[in-house]
Amino acid sequence: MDDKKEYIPSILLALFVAMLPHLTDLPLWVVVWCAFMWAYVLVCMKYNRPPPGRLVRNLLAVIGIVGLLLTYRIRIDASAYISLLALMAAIKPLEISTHRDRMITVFLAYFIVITSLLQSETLLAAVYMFISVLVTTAVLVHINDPEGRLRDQFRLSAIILAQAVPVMLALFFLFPRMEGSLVGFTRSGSGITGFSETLRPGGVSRLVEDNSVAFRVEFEADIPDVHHLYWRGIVFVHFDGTSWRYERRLREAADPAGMADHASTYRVTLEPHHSRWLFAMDFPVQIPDSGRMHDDFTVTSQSPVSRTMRYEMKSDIRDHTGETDFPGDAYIRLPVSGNPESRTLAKRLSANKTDTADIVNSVLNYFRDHDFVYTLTPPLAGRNPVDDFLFESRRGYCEHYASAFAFLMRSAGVPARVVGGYQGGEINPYGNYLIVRQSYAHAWTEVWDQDRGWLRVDPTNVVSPGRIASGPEGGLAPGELAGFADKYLAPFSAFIRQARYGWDAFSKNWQAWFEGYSYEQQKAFLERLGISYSYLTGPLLLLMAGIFSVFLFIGAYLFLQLRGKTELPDNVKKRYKQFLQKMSRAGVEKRPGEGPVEFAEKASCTRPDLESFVREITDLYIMLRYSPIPGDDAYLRFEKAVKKFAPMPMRKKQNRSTVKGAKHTDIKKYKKI
Amino acid sequence: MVFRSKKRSILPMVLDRQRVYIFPTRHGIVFIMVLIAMLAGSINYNNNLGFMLVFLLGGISLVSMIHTYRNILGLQVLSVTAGPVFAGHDAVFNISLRTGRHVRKAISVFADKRQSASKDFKVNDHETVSAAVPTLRRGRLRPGSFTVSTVYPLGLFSAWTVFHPEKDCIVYPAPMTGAMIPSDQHPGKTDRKRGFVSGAEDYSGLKPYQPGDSFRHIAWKALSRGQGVFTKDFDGAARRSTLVFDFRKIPASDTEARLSKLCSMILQANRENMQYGLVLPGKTISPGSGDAHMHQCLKALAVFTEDDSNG
Repeated sequence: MDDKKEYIPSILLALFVAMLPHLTDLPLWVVVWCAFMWAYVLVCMKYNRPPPGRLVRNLLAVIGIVGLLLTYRIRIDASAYISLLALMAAIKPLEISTHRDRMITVFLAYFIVITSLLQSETLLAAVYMFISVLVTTAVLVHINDPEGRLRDQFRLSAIILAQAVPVMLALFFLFPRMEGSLVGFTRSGSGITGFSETLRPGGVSRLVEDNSVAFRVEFEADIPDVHHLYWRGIVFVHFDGTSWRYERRLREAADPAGMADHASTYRVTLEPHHSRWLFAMDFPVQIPDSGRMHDDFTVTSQSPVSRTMRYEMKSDIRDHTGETDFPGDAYIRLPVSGNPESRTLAKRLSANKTDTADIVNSVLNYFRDHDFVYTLTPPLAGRNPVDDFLFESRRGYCEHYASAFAFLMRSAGVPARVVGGYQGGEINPYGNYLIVRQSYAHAWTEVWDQDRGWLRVDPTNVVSPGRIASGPEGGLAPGELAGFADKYLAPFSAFIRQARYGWDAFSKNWQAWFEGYSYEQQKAFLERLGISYSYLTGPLLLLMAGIFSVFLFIGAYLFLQLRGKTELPDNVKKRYKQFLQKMSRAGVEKRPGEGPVEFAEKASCTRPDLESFVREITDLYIMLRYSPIPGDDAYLRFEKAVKKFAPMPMRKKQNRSTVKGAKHTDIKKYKKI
Repeated sequence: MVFRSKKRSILPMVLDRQRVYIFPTRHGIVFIMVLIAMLAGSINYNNNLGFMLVFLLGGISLVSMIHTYRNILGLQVLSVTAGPVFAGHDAVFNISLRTGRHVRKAISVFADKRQSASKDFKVNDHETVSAAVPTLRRGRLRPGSFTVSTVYPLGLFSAWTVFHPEKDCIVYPAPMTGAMIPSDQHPGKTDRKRGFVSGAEDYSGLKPYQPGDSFRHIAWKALSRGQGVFTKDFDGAARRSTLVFDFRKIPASDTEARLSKLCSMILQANRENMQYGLVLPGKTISPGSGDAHMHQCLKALAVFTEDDSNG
């Protein structure tokens, strides 16, 4: 068992590197369990203790599975599956005494690597994948080459990886992709963040703290002014006194292609958010083929967005839709009772006003004049959330303002709705595109009037103009969002910001070219190469072409590598023949039937100067041919002696030997003669 | 494929493309299964990074196949040697390998499917790899086949060559201890009693004539009888016993037991640095001493067959 221990640290390294991306997803006890097992294996190795026996291992496996059942109950999802792999990875190093166990453990490490990819497809994940494969492959080399040094094995692993990349690229682009899913289930969204499908002012805000990217936008022309960047996602129509809900039976827009005075074309790369809403700048006029536009100007895709999606849209930059019919009673409907003070306020503010614009202005002025504060930490609301907000706390964020405003409007008899989506975005100077983060999530309102149709009104802008002009942090009091970075890394913040933008520009291109590569892109890619992609026969042909090209690659490689490298099998007889030829040039012919010893004696008599070399070669020859136990290096010595043997021709009659000690120059002289 | 290599291989030989075979190992097949499972997962989730990993690993295994192939291709098998052993011990075949222009790693040799330790080679290096084969009975042990193989670097593919060298291992009979029973049969020395040292000066026996021997010592009597040219040995160091071991005089039930006893006697005689000869049915080895002589005698025992005794 002793000789097997040297593999333990490297195998643990491979498992550790593979498990690292899962560290945050796993239950804490699984992480502790892994760490404990691996530490135990290392301690056993260091102090020469035998690893636990089969019984203990089985017991540990049972305990682990019971623990999993207690943690996950019957919820079998990706996390449970990864935890199971982690438990296996924890116990497996206890039994790696055979070559088979070691190989299987390394394969397990490869398998864990792919599970982390199913969780995240980012550029970072891709870079990390290459690192994990490099380490795991080096460990695989290590267990197959016990005598080698780990450093060389890492180098070989890197070489193999580099050589494998062309194969990988060819297969990646050519392997036929399918539309949809193989067995019908797709990965469930884990920890979905982003805007929610209900709006409940008074709930806790998490969005502002979430700096992950919601989507990125490239504009064909210039990026519009930040006050136009209202990214429409969902329209909330139904209010039940505390929360807003969207209309589930949306009608398709009759004619999406409306007039476009200030059209802007842009391409959105949307991160998966596991619902069907697509984001469009107000107001979309042209949508992607795969999308559907509704009569409230929201756009949805056919299926939930579970992977990065790219789509192109065209919007008309304006703040109202243009003349439309009266939208219906649903837009002025309010619960029968509740929030009485707000209703009274609405009546008061709209008294003697018939023009919608006047009512809007008086309500906005009310917000402006009454010391409303924009904050991310509003107090929780009670039973009458609108009253609580308007008359007691006066503290809240966009949802509070949008909801209260829409409530007041409806109370005043003006059709109003709340729109959820994103507002603004950071411009990445490295790519000249817009990054819209989850923290840019926003809610605003739209009111209807006869002439302009739906008109956008953003009450947050009145209370906190900074929120719109300079992003989510802009609207807050100083210090409210100061994180670790702002507190301690202030001198470097500019640099950090630059680096972040640089990385984001990379990621965006990665997403555009890599993550978005699917059936349609492959089709386009191949068509550009001049390969037609017929849906039925294409995949099969491509598969065959892929396999064929792989074999072609191997064949070509072998051919180039090995061409002309084979030597004819040389053997003892052949070498001896060479010796005889040299001797005949030196004037001693071997008669047929003459044994080697006889010949050597004759040669020694004729050419006494060569005697010692002839004897050496003859002795070795006899040893190789007839001795039961020739020395291990006999053949080498024989071959060397024959090669070096370069006798002077007979007629020169020199005593000076030219053999053995002969320098190359001497041999050359002889050859010239 | 296998049948072609049944004929004896001539050594030294170069492992060229005709001789080297390559196939996935069991682990390689398991790995391919794992890859297929990963591919199915990637297709299902339409995960491009998953595809990338699967194809990268696929590429790695293909590249490793080439590395494995190159690791063994061009390797030269110079010779196979095997020192004699006693029955019951392992016959150790020493396979002398030379690398040529490549560094080679983890080359293993199998003799009759029994693996040696694997070895690394430097450029233009030569090394001897030993493979042991158990022996059960005396005779010429001819191992069925030798395999030089490698799974380096990833253990997913195995490249190998099979060869059948003309080399066999002489397996001496297992020594069986017993009383030493020398016979007094000795050609030209019938006057000796029980083979012990005679009173006569330094005369210790006859030995084949070698050029340079004094004419005065040639055994003319033997020459005249047509027995060949012998020299009377008057070696000064010849004050030693001269024994002759005769197969027929060994009290034992069967041939093998007799041979084992003879083996033991020869070993003992050699240890005590005696002069001894061996008489087997059909073969006689005149007395001598030294390790070479001992091996000659033991080999005669090893290859002895009943046919010889009849003939």
